[in-house]
Amino acid sequence: MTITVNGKLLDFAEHINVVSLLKYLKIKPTGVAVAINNQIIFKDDWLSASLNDNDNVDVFQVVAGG
Amino acid sequence: MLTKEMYQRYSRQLLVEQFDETAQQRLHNASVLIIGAGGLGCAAAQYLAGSGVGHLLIMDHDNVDLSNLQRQPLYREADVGKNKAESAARQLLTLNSEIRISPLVYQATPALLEALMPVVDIILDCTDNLPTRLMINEAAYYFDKPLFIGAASGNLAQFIALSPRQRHGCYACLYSPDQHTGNNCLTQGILGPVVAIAGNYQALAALYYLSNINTPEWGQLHVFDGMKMQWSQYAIPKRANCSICGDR
Repeated sequence: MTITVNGKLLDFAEHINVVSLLKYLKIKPTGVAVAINNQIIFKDDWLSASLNDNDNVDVFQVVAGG
Repeated sequence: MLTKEMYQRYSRQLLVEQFDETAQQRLHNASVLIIGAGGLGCAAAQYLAGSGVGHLLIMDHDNVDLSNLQRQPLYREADVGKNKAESAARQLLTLNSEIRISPLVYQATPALLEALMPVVDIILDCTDNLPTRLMINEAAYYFDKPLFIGAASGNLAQFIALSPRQRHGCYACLYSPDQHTGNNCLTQGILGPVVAIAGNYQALAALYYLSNINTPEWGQLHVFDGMKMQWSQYAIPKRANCSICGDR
């Protein structure tokens, strides 16, 4: 399965979800937001949000300052 | 009916094809609550005042600090130590004395928002932390008011336009309270133009909505990366069990 994460192609032998993707990328889940195919995935749904072949994933910082 | 002086003052925006006397009159009749008079609030407020929005209510309990002057262009060195809402109001009235500006020297609370929401048309969230933003989101949805949210930190800016009448998700469908990291301008720094970009997005969307010449793209998170000089855009779906917008 090939997915694109922040513009980079990654290959995975098995299906993964958002939580396992962040773990693989060594990204701490606190303070980041995730979108799959340009749609926000709420944090509570990261475990159930499985990724599919050719998905486009964006991981970016939560910004609340001003 | 616009006066001769108003025609002259607003002539350049009246020349914009979609913007006419009716649009200007709509701005003149509008009231906007700006919560936070930091980098976002300064950027947004000066363009809303210049454009002739009739009543700006500017809320901030904080005082101007010397470190604010780098990115908060409504303030002068002489304002250091003075309240931001009052200093911003003074400066904005020198820009446009034809409009009303109400400085509100308060920290946002649910009770205060409850009192203010009924008298304003829209809200600009120009605050600097997640818990306050979630509180403003809840109040805006309860009182059925469009909410224009800006945020910035480091090299990143974000913008969202939310309408309780649309079927997109709200701010509580975007970020969970436990995603609050404490990252802000103090911990991550901020470049002045980056925060101004978010504030200007808020002002532009507000002008379009209030003048009724364009419909904001509701329910989209716009993310600006200053290092790449690029925007990205993400849809915010409504969560079925959201306590704020779920049953709408």
